[in-house]
Amino acid sequence: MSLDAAGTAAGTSVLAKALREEFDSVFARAPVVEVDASDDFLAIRVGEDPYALLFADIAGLYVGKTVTALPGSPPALLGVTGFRGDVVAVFDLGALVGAAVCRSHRWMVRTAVDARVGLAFDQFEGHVRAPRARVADEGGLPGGRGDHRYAVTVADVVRPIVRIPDLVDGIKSAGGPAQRSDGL
Amino acid sequence: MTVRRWTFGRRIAAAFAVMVALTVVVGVISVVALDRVVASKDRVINVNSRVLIDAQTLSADFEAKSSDARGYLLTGDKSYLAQMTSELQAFQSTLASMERNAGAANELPLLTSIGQESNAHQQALDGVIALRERGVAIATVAKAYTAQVNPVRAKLVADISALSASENRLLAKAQQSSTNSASAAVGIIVAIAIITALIATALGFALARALRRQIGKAVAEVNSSSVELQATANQQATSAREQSTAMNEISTTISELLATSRQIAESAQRVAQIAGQTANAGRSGEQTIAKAQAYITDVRRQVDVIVDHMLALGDKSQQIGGVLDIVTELAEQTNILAINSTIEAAGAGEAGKRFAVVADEIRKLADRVAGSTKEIRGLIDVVRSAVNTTVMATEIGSKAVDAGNEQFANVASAFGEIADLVDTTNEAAREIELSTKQQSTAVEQVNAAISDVAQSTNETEVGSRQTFETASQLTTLSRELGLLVEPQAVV
Repeated sequence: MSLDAAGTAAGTSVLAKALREEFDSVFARAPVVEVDASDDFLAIRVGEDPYALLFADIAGLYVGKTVTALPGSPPALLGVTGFRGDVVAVFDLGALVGAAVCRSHRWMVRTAVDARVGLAFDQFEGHVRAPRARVADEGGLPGGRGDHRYAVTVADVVRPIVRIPDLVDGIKSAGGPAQRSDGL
Repeated sequence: MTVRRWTFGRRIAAAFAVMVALTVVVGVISVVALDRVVASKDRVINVNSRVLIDAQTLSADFEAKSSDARGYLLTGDKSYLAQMTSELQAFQSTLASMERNAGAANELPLLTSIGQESNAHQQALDGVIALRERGVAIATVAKAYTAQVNPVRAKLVADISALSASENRLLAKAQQSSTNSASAAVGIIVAIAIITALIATALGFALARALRRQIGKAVAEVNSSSVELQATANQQATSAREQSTAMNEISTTISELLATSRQIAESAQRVAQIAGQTANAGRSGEQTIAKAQAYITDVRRQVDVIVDHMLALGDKSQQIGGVLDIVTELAEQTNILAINSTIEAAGAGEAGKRFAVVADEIRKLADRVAGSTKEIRGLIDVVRSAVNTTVMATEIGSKAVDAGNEQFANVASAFGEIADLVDTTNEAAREIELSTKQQSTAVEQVNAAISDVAQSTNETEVGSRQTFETASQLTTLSRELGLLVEPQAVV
């Protein structure tokens, strides 16, 4: 036991050393020219379903923000929250994409197309950088919506790409989540 | 109780009593009969014969007085007168006596008549005597005598003769009566004697029958018993011989037992020595157990220390988990910052590309930190689980140590008991040794007693032979007795 603990401690120090060296080596090496174009995604989960959010569609990732509910608001509108003086309307991403309603709404992103719109979801799984060759037209998910025309496959997990601009356009065109033409 | 159940002696006594009673009855009857006969004879002798004798005496006195009177008349001698007076007095005395004793009916008138005629005769005689005194001639006197005295005399003689005849008849009658009485007495006595003889014969027959029955039965039983006694004596002699043989075997066995007892005594002595050594070993084991118990107590203490350390390790692991939560949160925040930086760098265009590289590396670091944090959390969970398992195992070990300690205490107690028991065994072995020695002494005494018993058995055999001979003699004697009692039924 003690030997295992010692081994684990030694492994941890080795890991820390490797991390340090790798971090330092990045700045010591010459800049890498990317041959293949790739996109960055946020791997998230809405309920139990995996999704991907394109970095270009979001303005920031946040966690643990306090959302103040508004009386008489539609079901997809969770409420409002504040970002350094800006009021942001927070929508339930699960309700917008037609998936299950999110349970915790712990994580939230601000959309790049309109920084006043925030989308809350259950879980942030990490950052994913995928080559564009791995972005495929899925033709929509079963029972899907027009927001999911593309999907990215990461670690054998197919993640539909949420088209945030379309969602924001839908919200705006509907004058609110309840007036959206697609029913959101 | 019936007569059949009487003993023979009692029956003989009863028979003798009956015979004695009959003899007494015969004697009494004989005495009564003899008394009556004697009384009858006495009456014949004393009354009838006396009256007859008195009658004869009266006649003799009268004849003597008459002779004296005739003598005087013839001789004139006065002495005859005196004698005549004396004879007259005797005559009157006898007559008076007869009158007093007169019993028959005709006796008293005859005596009265004789008295009157005697007086008349005396008066007549006195007249003649007076003539003689006056000197009258003899012839005259004789004539006067014949005329005056003889008729009276003849009448008086006739009365006296009649009296004698009457008395003779009475005497004969009394004699006949006495003879009849004696004959009756003889008849009664003879009859009673015959009855007594018959009874005696019947009693004798009954006694003889009872004698045959009882004594014969007793003789048969004695004979049977003597035969059985012979058989028993024979068996006793055989048993005595077998007993003598058995006694010899017992004596041999007792000798072997004596040798065995001595061996047991030696073995008990060795057992006592071994028990002493075992007691020492038990005490040594007890000390060793005490030391082991002390070691176990130390182990228990060390186990407690280990448990404390493990619990502290669990607490530390929990604290590490808390720190790791902070690190995880920091990694998460770092990741968020890196992502947001990347987003911001992407928005900055070409100017933000280098910053995007830094942010990306920071994000990678944050990812790696998050992954490492997960691994550490997993390791910590493993450590906590291992700590819990260790604590549980240590608790189990502690309980096992407690149980072992208790078992050691039991073992120590058992060693103590073993030592005590070994001491008891030692003491018992010594007692066995002492008892075995005493037993050897007792066995020797038993051997001597067995020898005495064997000698007594030989004497018993001799006695049995004597008993056999005595029983044989008793058989012969019973047969002889049976011959005496019932010759035709001799066994």
